[in-house]
Amino acid sequence: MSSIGTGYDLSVTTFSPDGRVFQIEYAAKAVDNSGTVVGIKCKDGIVLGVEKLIPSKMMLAGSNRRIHSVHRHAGMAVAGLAADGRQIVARAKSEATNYERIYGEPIPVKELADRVASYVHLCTLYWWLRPFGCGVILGGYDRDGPQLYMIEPSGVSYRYFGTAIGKGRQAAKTEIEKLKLSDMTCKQGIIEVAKIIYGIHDEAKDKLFELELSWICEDSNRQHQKLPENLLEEAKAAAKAALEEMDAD
Amino acid sequence: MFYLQAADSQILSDYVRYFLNQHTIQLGQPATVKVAANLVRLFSYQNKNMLQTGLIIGGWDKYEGGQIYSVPLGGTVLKQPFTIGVTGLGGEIAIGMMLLRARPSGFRRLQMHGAQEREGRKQTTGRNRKPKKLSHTNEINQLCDKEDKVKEGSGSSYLYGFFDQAWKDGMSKDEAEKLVVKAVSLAIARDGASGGVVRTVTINAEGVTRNFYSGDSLPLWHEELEPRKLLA
Repeated sequence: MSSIGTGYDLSVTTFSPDGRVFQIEYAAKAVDNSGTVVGIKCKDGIVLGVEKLIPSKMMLAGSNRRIHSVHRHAGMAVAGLAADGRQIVARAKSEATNYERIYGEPIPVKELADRVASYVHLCTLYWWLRPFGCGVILGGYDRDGPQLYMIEPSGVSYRYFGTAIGKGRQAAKTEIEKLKLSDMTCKQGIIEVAKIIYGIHDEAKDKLFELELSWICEDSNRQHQKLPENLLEEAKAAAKAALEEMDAD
Repeated sequence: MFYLQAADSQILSDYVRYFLNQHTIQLGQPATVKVAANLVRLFSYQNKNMLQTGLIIGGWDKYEGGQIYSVPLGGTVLKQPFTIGVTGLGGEIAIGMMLLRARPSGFRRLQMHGAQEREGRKQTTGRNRKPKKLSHTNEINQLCDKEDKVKEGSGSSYLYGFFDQAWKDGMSKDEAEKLVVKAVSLAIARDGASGGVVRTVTINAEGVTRNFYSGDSLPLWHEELEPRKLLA
């Protein structure tokens, strides 16, 4: 308050005079600086993809996963602070198991998204808490078919056909809009997501990244699973080939 | 003990209805039959030391069509094509049965019955309660009826034998209703404590249909005596 800025940005319990809560906006900033996370809803399921930036070559491949399974039929991809994301995943898992214990059937994706969003929002209401520094894309497959939600640090959740968060979200979203999602299968979807993430990756800023992909569709028995190794390699190869083709043009 | 059971089943079904209503609002669509059955199971199991009630949960939902679940004393849930509960004391029989098991999307119905008190005794509200309609749309119509304590040597085992022989997959609604009325009348004949009237409930996509069969319209079996018209 004493030096620069207008103040009103240290607490989530104080609005600025023009009605904003700066802490939440700062949390959103943390998300915007992270590697891109993409989620699309194909006609037969969901594909989640993450551009996981690697801070060190010494890091073991496959560690610090950003895509987590929440339940048999639902998965979450995290952008922003990975540790905050794990907290949300843990909550989502417990909501999902709790629901199934009481009602005897898997939690509907809408209900799961609502509950997770309430939890995220809760952390924007008290001075002794800080908002989550991450946004999540939640994909699930229930009896009403595949569904995709995105939950932001403010606690809002919207349902999407396809969406992206993180550094390259704008470019990714325009790429997703070009896709014919309504008649695309997940098999094609994984290639497209891989292409988008490879295309968006900025070599100049971040040297290393690892592509993380997961899906929920008939091929995965309507369960959330990380993409089988052979399909992942296929997708990577297709993405790299597409990239080279673009460079050649 | 006897009224206690009636009270238990009333309270239990009240709780289940309460949770189902809440759940329906939360989801914005009717709860499934499975959810109803699982709630009954949950409460029956958690309070098994206190409850003396078993329930039959029957209903229709758009995902799995007509279904019957029985939740007996300890809190087991069993999804069944038909189920029967008979009491030796209460003079009641509850039967749930499912038609057209083979066609998940087809027209499915189920029937539930409570044989009522013997003639000559006043009807009380505690026993032989009418099954209640739980949801407010036609899409799903949950039904909770009491399946009283199954007493050893009572009529249920006879009925199971009868049902094993007479129940067929894919019966029409009328066939099934006839079968159920016959079964209940048989149980009334076998079981000294059962008697009175038969009520049926059919639940399907269109909603809930109740029927009533007075005591003197029921067939008599095994040298059963005609009901005496005490009030006439």
